[in-house]
Amino acid sequence: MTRALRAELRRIRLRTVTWLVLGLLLVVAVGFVVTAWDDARPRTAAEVAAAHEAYESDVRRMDEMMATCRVMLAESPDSGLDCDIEPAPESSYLWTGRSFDEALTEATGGLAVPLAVAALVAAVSFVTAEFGARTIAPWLVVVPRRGRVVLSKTSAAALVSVPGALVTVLATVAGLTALYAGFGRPLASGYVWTEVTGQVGREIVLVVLAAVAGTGLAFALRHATAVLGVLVWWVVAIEVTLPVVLPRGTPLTVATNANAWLEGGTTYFLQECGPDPENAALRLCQDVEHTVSAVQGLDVLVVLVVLVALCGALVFRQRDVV
Amino acid sequence: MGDEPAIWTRGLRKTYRSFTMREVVAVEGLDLCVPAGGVHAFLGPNGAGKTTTIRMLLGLVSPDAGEIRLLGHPVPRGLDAALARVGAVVEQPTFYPHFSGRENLMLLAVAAGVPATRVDAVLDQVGLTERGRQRFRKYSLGMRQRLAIAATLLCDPDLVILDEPTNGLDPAGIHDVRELMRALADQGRTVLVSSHALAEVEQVADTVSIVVRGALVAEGRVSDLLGERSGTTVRVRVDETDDATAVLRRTGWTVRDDATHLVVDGAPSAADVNRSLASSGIYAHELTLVRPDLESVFLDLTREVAS
Repeated sequence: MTRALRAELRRIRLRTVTWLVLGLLLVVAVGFVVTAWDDARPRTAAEVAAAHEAYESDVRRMDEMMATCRVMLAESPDSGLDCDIEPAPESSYLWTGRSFDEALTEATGGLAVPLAVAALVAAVSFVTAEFGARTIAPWLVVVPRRGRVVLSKTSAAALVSVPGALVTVLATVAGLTALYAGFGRPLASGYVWTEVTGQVGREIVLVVLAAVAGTGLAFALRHATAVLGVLVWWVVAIEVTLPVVLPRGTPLTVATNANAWLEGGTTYFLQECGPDPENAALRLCQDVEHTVSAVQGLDVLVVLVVLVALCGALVFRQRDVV
Repeated sequence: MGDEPAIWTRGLRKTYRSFTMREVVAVEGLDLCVPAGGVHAFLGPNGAGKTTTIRMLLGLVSPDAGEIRLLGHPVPRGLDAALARVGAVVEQPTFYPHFSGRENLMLLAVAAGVPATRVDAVLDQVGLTERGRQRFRKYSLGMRQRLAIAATLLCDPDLVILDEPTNGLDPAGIHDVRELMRALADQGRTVLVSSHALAEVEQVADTVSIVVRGALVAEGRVSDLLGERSGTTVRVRVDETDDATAVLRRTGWTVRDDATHLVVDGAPSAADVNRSLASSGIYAHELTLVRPDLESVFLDLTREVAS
């Protein structure tokens, strides 16, 4: 580990923003646990009684209907009526909420966006604060090689984003486990843990990419407000407008590729028109489904992040520090 | 360090472009030679290009043209090797405002591979041991300057560059900085100090460079520079100012009245002035030989360039 990287890791640890971002992520984790409360808690006696009453009512109604049905069937045996329909089982009348498996996979999946945004914000703030406080000049006197400065800051932001994400995921998992175990509900199957581990692994990759992109943007633009402006422009112009104006540009959006990476692939539809085989004078248009694979999604994300990082490094290397 | 100058520049030039693409020349063909060892004053009026020059020396700003050698290493190619032996404060002291003074130095120490004990030593050296754990944003300007000077000393540098180090310091602080600069120079280090406090600099500087509008106008030992400009000036207080003026002008000397005294330029000595007046029956209440100081030399030079 280089001295510069050690110093950068020490600085990140000392920053208030780092702990603030982690605190916000833990609030999100608590939010996922709180929303699972209603799923996990045992049903109240009133709910059980209401479900039983609804079941009994349906059974009575069903018995009456079947009795009527049998009379009609006796009058006309060829009618084909089925008069042996059973009512739904009583257990289906009582809403039991999501299982632990469902709550866990939904919560870990839902953490992807908050984790990526947190890594991006923390990385941008980490670098722009240095330009804002003008501490970059004395830093460059101690670490004169700008490439080394870029590398150490980017590595530090990326490295710190991993434990931050893991702490958030662990807090969510621990919270949900405690909640479901506390209410005596069954916990996860082995299959779900495998799925969740894979999901978290993919989220960690996304978080690291977000941190690298954040430092790249910060080195290129130097001011947090400028970075925010570029991000807003990107969201409006590329993420929202491009797929509408130019649908073929959909696979270039971060949202599509991130979704593909996280979900193991995604699809989008393009309207494709051609001559109607039954009537050559007409054109036939139909929505054709296209797939973006997980690997393709990761490739595009990596290329975008590398471009941003290179741009940041190049600008920082060329521009004067005044 | 041998005969190699601590700082050497040749034909250094830097221009900035404004938003309207107007070109502003900050440094114009600067040839600077700072000898190794001693205190070297780097003087110039505001906007003369001092800070830009220091930034170019430290690799923070790229020159448009020219060469730089810092402690014998070419800049920017040999910046790593050069800056490992340099401690510098550029313009205002800037540190992370939410970290303590000690923690700010610790970060620099970790990056530079300096042991933590050195941080305590330099804090003690600048008198900040007791306030080291206070957040930097709560420091007074004087404390900030002290912390910046402490930062320059962390790596035990051969060359210390201080840009206006006495800004915001009280008289005791100014005295301490002066003593520190002298002590560093006496240890064989080179101190480059850019300052507006000419009287302070004069007391401690061995050599000086004066820049005006980005170009060097004078360079050399302070004593030599003052000697070159030591045409005799005598201030005289007499009752008969008109008569005295006429008598002195008849000898071919330049005389002007500054309201309280007559200021005589061009006389060989104060005694000649006195003799000339006495021979006409005019007796001086006061006769003072005006010695040039760095400030007057500086003002003369900057006026000459401006005119």
